[in-house]
Amino acid sequence: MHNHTVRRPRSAAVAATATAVTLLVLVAGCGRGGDSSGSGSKDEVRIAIVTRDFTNPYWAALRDGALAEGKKQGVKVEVQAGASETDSTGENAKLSTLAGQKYNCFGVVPVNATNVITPLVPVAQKKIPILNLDTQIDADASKQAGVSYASFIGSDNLSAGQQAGKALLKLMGGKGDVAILQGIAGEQNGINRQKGFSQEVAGKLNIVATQPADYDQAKGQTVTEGILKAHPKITGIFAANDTMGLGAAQAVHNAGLTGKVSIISVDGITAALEAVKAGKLSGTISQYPYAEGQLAVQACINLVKKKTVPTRIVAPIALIDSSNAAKAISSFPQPFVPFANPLTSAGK
Amino acid sequence: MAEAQAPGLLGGRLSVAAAARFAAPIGLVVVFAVFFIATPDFLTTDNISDLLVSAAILLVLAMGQQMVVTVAGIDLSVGSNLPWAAAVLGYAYTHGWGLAVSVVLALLAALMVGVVNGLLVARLNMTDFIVTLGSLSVVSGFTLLLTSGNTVAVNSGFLRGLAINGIGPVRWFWVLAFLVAVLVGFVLFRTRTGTYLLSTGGNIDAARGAGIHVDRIRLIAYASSGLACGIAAVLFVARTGGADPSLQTDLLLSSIAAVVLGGSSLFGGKASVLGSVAGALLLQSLINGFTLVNISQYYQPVAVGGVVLGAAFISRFQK
Repeated sequence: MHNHTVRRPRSAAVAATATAVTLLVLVAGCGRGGDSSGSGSKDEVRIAIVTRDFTNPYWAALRDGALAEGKKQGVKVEVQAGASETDSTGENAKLSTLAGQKYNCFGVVPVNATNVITPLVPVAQKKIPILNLDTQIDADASKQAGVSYASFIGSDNLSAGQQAGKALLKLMGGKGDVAILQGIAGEQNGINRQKGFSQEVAGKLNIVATQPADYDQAKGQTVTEGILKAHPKITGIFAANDTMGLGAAQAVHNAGLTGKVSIISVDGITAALEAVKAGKLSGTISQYPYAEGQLAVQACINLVKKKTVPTRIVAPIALIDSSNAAKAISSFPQPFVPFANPLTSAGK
Repeated sequence: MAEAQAPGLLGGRLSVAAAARFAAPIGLVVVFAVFFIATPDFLTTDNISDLLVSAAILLVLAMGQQMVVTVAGIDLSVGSNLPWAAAVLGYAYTHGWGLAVSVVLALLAALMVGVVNGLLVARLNMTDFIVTLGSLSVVSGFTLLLTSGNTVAVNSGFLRGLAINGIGPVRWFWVLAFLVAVLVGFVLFRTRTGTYLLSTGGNIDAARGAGIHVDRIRLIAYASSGLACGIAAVLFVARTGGADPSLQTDLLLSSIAAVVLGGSSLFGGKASVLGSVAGALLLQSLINGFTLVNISQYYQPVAVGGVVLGAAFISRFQK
């Protein structure tokens, strides 16, 4: 009896799946793939950019910059991402999907130091140029896999941390207790920002708490609430990114300490600029992911046209505080101060 | 061509109840047809090859989940068991214990989590949902402790080859996923243990009355899911070149969705390995196709969720 009920649907399922597979093979046999092989001449620039996720406004800005530059230059730009800041396999799958298509330049922001190397191996074997964007990919592992990068385009995060340290020192009058909100453990940009900050304030400010809040706004708020209870005397907070900084600002606001506790974060997303203007956040070290996206597209165009690009292109950063927040918002997402673009000056 | 044949298949021979049973394979054909029409880049050898490789990790996890769902259970701990096994692999490998030993340790570590889940659920009669929710968190903590929260790079040419190469056009990832699926299918439908798994899931009291060691059977189910996490973790490390300690909630949810899409009942007693395979392929095809036709990232979860809800709706018609 039992055998019977189990087996019947199964053999039917085998038949159905077999039919499905046969259909697929037949359809594949029709060779739709052949149609497209003719299109796309050698000079046509087709750029694929893969980043972590678009729920973080930072990566959404990078995408917008790349798409806008692609439109301006009249080249095809495709930007894809995983589902979250830590979606290493999702991003990996997106990249390997795009690697099988006819793109002739890739720009990649990795989730961690290694997760994008394997799908890049076939890209590197086809001698397609690859740009490493924003976060450094493990150099040794890349080398062993036979993957090399034409250029690294990103902000100097050590310097961003130092600038944040300088700004907080000034706000806190050069002394006092400070807390640090860290990003996702092991994430290199966050480590560099913290390192720069700690170097700058060493011997002047007293770092009483260092807690991870995973680049998450809600976590940033919860962790800050805890820190304010444990260390009520703090007068400064450094958050390794804006979303955590906004969470911290909310916690400080709820505790009625706005103005007494200064908060500096890094990234320069719109919500943070608005918070600076409203006085809830003391300042943000603005990086320009939008400019990073533009630079990536410009570098790709140069690479496809066999022009050289510098092996390291540093995107601009700037401190946004109450004095220039309005100006920063009006020119967003472009930097409001001009910066030397090594691509446009050397390129054409 | 696909357009001409698919409706014929649907309209002609299959009733609504049968359509419900084959929701996942039919859905798979429909999704393939739609993407085939939408873009010339979908149904190419390269892309299908990549799609199947991308689906391998999810497929292996879904096979483990299938075993647990068959006994009317659920395993939420896969979201942290996979990174845990990956972290053990990374830890052992970076401490110079060799790849073979590291892989075996990873499999054992994942199996251990499955066994503990099984003991708590079967012997202590604790609720499966809560037990695996608890171990999801506990194991995630162990992973963070082992790695100090850092990604451990596993720089192995062998593992990289596993992810990229194969026998001719047949990639190693497919071979492994296929073997796991065949093994689960064999155990469920060709062995006495399989019959016991299905009976335990169908009616636990009747199964106990019939003299089946239901505790042992449920333990086997959870242990299998643990082992599947271990195998998936090896693929995960091969593909991402390292062990990332972050929770893999997307894979967890997709593994359950794949099994449900495949027509297995969450109330147990009914299993369809082929359905679950089709379910996993369907979910991955959606992501792959959306990437190709450049549908905004923000719509993708909506579409994937919509498909799962659609499958739940169709399965209402199942007898």
